[in-house]
Amino acid sequence: MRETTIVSLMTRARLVQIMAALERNGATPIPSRSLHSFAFFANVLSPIWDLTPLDGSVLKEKSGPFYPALQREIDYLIGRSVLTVVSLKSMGHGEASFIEPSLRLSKANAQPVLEVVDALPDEQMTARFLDQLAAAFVEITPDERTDAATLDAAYSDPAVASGRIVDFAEWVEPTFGNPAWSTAQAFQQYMPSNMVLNRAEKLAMYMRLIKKRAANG
Amino acid sequence: MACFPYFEKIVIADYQLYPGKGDELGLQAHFSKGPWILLGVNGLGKSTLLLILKHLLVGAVSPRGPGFTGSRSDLLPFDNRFFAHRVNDSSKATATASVRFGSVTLHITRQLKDLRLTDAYRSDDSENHIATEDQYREVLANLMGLANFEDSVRVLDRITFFLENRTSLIWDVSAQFEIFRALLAPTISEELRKLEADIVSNDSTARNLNAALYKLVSKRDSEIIRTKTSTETQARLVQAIALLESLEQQELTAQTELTSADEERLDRRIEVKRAERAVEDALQAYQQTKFQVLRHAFSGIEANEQYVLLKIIADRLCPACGNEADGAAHTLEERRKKNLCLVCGSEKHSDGKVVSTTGVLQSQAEDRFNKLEGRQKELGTAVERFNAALERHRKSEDKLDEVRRKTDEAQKEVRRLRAKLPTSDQNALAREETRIEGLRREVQNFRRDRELAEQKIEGLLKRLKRATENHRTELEKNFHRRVRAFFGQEVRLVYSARKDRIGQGGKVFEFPAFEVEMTSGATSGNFIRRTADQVSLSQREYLDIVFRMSLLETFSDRGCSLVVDGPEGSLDALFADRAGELFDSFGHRRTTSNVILACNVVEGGFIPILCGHFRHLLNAVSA
Repeated sequence: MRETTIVSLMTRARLVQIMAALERNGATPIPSRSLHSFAFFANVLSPIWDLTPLDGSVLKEKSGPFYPALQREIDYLIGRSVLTVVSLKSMGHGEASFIEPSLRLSKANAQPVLEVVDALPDEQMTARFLDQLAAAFVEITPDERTDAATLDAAYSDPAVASGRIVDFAEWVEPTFGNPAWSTAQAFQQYMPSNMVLNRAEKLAMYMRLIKKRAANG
Repeated sequence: MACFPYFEKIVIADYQLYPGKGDELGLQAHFSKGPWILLGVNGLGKSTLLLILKHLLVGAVSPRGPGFTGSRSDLLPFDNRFFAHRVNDSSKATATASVRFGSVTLHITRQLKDLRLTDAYRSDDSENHIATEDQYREVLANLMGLANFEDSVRVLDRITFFLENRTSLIWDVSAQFEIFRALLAPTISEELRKLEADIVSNDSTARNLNAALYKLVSKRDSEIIRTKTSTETQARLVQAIALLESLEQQELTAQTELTSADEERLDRRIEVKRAERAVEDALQAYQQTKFQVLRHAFSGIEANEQYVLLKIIADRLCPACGNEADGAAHTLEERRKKNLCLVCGSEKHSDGKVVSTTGVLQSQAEDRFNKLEGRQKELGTAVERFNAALERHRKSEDKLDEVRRKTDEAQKEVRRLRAKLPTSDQNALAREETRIEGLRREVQNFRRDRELAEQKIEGLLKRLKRATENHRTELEKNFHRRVRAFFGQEVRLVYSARKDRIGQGGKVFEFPAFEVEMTSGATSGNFIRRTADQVSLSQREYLDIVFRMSLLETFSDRGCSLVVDGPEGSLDALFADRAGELFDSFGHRRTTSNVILACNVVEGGFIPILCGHFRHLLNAVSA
């Protein structure tokens, strides 16, 4: 039997919160690769909200971020009917082929989980952060959502080669060691002196930048 | 953009090593586009000819080895009688080369007896002959688009010429930094070099003074102890100082151990992430085959259930409860084969067709499943190695912390014991302290100067790093294209900035650098090769040659030459053919480039393949 660790429980809970935020913002059904992309943004941008990311690093790949541990929890939640597979699509060719499910949250089965998670004080803040992020993420065209993460400041750092590790919070400072955080903070420089950006605004501006980059290819 | 030399012509006169034939005295070679081979047995002067080409350009100097050398000169003298020693009489011998840099050709003539410049001029300014070596050096740097002559010599030594001494580039990250500094930051190259010298010089002076200070303190302590009557405090002070010295030594060793453990930890983390991804890829590929096999059996089942059943069959785990599900997977397989409903096992009300899996798909499924199992094993090994590396790192950190804690305690103990010495001793101590304090201030001053230089260099290094990163994709692409054709194994050039200090102490900076990842012949994972001794001799040499070709291609849009001595030396039969292709592709396919090779007469495909595109005018200058 697969061992349930504290890490897998946390990932599972975060996944339900993410899917709930995406549901609320009309971003479901969501293809699993786009879900990984969103999870990446949730990790890399959480230091803006003083939240600890679930994963502080990810393997850099041309196709975008992919978290094997998150994928295991997606499968588990499908098996428990918390997530529903709306459709299956065969993607890629040959050895690189895979089946991509499009997912949505099963509200009835997810509600008890969400009630428990939302009752925890720090998770309420997480839920608000994910809502803001989902609202910004949904602005990106569905076709561009999967690739959007590859345009993130940390992920696209030219100093990190493909096949190496994008570390934004594991062995480096989640703030100054994280280019996405630094970029989001830099927006303040362009504001009038009497205007101080709050974290939600920084997050929205950062995602708008990503959207712009995605749209420009 | 930098401009690399393209050798057009060499003429050697009155040099006994190349007497000529019949009426044609001396040696003349016109190097047009394509590969050129100097072919012959040992001792005929092939390598000497390539060295003449090099020293015609640079004169009687060689570059100092790479690294932060402080204010020492970047150039070392090269024996100006080197070519004179090879023959009995070289008094009248001269060598002339015509070397093109972009649209300008530089004509250079030197005496071979002492490498003195006798004539030089540019094709766009043939009226004005270059009179002195200093003027010549300025012209050369200018034509190459570099900051100074020193950078020109470095670039020629590490990129254009790959001669007998086999100076390495891909395996030497310090040399890479100097090359990128020269090629990509000519406007700040001199300032970078000066600040680097300041940092090394201030750091070194501070350390030397510190060593003098340390000796002074030790001498003072032992003097007091020797001249005074032995007391228990003095005896304990001697012991405490000895312990402190030993602990400081241990701290240095522990720091080195931690650095090595950290590097291993980083590498193992990459391995685990890649192994996890490889398992996931193998799993998805297997699921894909399963999906094809099962798609008929799945007819009429909702996507959600399809996905769950697929997971049970592929993973052999129940996604709902996490238990092993071999029995359920077996049952599902049986139902599929009998064309029964996968969910309840009853007969399907279908058109009666039994869909059988084709042999191809079945075999593909088996292959992919075997691959999946292999990947899972590799992941297990990678995780074990990572955990071992983490443990080693943790122990190294603990050890360093422990040694530092003990060092602090020992320092406190020494101070405490000094304070307990009799007053007369303390008065003597106070006088010594004044001198010691003065020296300490000097150390601080030099450290402050080093820090100021470090602040200035930081921004410049960032600029250089960004400039390198802007070119890295193209460089990696050019490298991969060439290397793929040469090596059977998967080889990647990977940008990986190196962290290092300029002085022995002080701030850590990031320097642009590339390293090599290769698939080992014994295993399937990619392993990072940081040092030349991690690969075979032929891999070492040819990775360097391919790297140089890629640099030439990336950083110059004009013609250039690559000069290689003994390219056949480390090759076996298989690689000899590929080496022929490699040099041919560089010399032939680029619009105006050539490779000049000196090699022994060898069997196999190297020479015929190399000259394959030029058979009609086989350009062999037989030595």
